[in-house]
Amino acid sequence: MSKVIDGLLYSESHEWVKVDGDIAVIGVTDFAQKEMGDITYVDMPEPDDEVSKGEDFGALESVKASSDLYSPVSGTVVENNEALADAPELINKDAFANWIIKVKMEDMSEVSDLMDSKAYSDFIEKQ
Amino acid sequence: MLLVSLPHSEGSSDIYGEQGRRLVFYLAMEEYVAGHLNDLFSNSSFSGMEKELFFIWQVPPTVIFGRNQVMEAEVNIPYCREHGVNLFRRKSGGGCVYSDWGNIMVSCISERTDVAFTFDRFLQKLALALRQLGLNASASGRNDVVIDGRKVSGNAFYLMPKSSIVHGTLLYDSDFDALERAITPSQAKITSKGVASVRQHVVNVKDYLETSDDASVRKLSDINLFKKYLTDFFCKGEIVLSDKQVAEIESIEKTYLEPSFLKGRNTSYNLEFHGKIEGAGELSVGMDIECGKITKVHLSGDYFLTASSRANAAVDMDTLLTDRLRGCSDDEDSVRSTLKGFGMENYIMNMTDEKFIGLIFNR
Repeated sequence: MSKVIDGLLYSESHEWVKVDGDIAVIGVTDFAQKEMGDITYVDMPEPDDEVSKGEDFGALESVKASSDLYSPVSGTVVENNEALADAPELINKDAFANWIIKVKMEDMSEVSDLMDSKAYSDFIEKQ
Repeated sequence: MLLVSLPHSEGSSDIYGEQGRRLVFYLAMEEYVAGHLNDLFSNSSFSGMEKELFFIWQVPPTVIFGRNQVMEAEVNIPYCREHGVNLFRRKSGGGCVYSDWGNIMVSCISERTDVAFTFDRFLQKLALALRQLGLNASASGRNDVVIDGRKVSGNAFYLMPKSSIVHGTLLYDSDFDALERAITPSQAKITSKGVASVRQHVVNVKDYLETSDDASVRKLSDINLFKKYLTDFFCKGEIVLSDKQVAEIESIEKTYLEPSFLKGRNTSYNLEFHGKIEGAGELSVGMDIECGKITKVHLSGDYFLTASSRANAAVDMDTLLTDRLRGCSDDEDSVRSTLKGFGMENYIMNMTDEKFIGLIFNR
């Protein structure tokens, strides 16, 4: 059973978003990290890079697979989680504690079509 | 599973991908097919069956490195340039592979997104295809198929939001000397934070087919018959792409040719060289490289500074070498021309610029 946290928003491509003012903190869900297996590399954009809702902004690579990361919002990257460069396995340890990027959002209404924890739980149940 | 093939107007052998297209076309074809599985099936007479498509293809000598690999750390770039070996990056992870006309690339696109099951099922099926020819083949490790313990196929998995791609090599009659040279970095010792390749013993399928006791198996030592065997084994029917769909694939193909994708985001690595220089001592040179350019040089060892250097407290070899070589490409010709007139002998006893270059480039 994968962990889902209340108060976060979720995308169908298994990213989570924590909205903090106009900043979106973005990571991948516990479901995604379990599906990928041991993560060996996190490809992240750099600060000042632009990301667009629904477009890929990086990738996860695991011992088994690689998978693109899709941005749930549009905006400018303000920070990436440098700790993941040296220790990508942190995502396996706790996918919710180890965010990947923080984005200054262009349009805060973009988060309205993301799922809440209840809807996401139902969504992964069907996967 | 169905065979997905290019329009038959591309030539009679089109389903086997011999129409002179670049490797990245086939990667783009996988991506296109993975993104349009529903359309491809609903417009065919096969709607209702599990959506899985298969195709095999071949390319001239090419090295394909994994999404998060540092090219310089994996590939012998000078060798590849000299011998016309193409270099491409794929979007799936894992290590680098060499493919030539003797290698068969296998692609399987599925609507399934459960990584472990989908990947394993494909490997098991590929191994079964070989076992049915009397070969001692089995899935091995996370992503290989081996015959008698030697690798014959390496595979990678690319997970998309609503589908997945497994693709891999099947060594049929590859040139292993060229393979070895192309994917052995030319530099002495290279480390990076990128994903490193795993080196294994490899074997060609054809070696087994030729010596089979079974005449029908021996026939498969003709690569075209073997490819037909494979597609027949995997596929129950065929979906043929339209010219319009091929045009869409060609536009995806362009994304693989973008210099920024080819180069990758991860472009820093370190080089380490050790050696004994007659009269000067045992030396180690470390270099930090960013985007193929030297950013830092570190020299250590049991060498002696010359009397004039010892008298000059300001002499610091790391600073001198870094200042001189910063921004220089990490190939021999560039280092030689940038170092011209540096005069290593003025700083280190029994050392010359040429000996220093020899240490780095293994002369």
